[in-house]
Amino acid sequence: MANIYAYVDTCVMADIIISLDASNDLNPVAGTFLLPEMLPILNKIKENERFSKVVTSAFTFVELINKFSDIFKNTEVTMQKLYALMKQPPEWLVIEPLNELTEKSYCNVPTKVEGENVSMDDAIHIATALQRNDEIVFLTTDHILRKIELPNLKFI
Amino acid sequence: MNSVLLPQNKLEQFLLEGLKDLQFNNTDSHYTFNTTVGLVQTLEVLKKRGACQYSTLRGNLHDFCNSGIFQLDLDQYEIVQALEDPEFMETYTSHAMNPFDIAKVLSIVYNDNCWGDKDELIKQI
Repeated sequence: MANIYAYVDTCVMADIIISLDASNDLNPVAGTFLLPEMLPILNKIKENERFSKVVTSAFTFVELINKFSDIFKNTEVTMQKLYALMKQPPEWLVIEPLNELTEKSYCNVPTKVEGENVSMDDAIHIATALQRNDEIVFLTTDHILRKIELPNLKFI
Repeated sequence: MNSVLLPQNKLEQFLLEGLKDLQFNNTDSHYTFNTTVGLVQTLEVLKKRGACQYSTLRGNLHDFCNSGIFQLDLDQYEIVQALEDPEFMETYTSHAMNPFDIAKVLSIVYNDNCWGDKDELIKQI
């Protein structure tokens, strides 16, 4: 089975966290942002999590903490859960840093797509996905991001 | 110890015009820092302004990264330390503060490569 890397933006990551069990095993369930068409990719990663990975940015967790009470209201997710995920990420999860590679990749992210602005936080996510310099599937519901065409990036 | 954060206008200048052989002299008593998030914000401003070709930006960024300035990255370990610090959480995770500024503060407060008066550096954000 080929290795799969799936980058998830903040909203999709939030839904993944909501669907985690107590051991933080990947257990994807469709939600507000985690769409049914994304589930096959995540299930393939679950089957091969030693080599296939869900990838996100450290910045994703800053956004999740910043809007914690809005994002996770009416859920059982606690700040302790986020802490545990970052302190000891499960095998299926890679948390990429914001560093020089992100800066360099950021230069390749367009500011507009078909006349619509790409926000800076979304551009950080794109740059982080690009900095792996590997083929990566990008899971997002953002309609602007899904129009971006860049090498190595495929949106679902 | 004198620690300074490179001001936005200086960053813009370096990324637009190049460093022109300028090297940052970081000594035992003077450090110049820059946060990755701050640099990304500057790149965003320059790209939106259409100030220069992306290839020029990439070249100048490459020189900047090799200039000797201390870059403060952000990874999960800085965030973990913040979550262990109730005082930080209370001060910096309100909705009043945007995630970019929180990320910059995290880079300064918890990055092991950041020395000097951190309160002073945070004021310079």
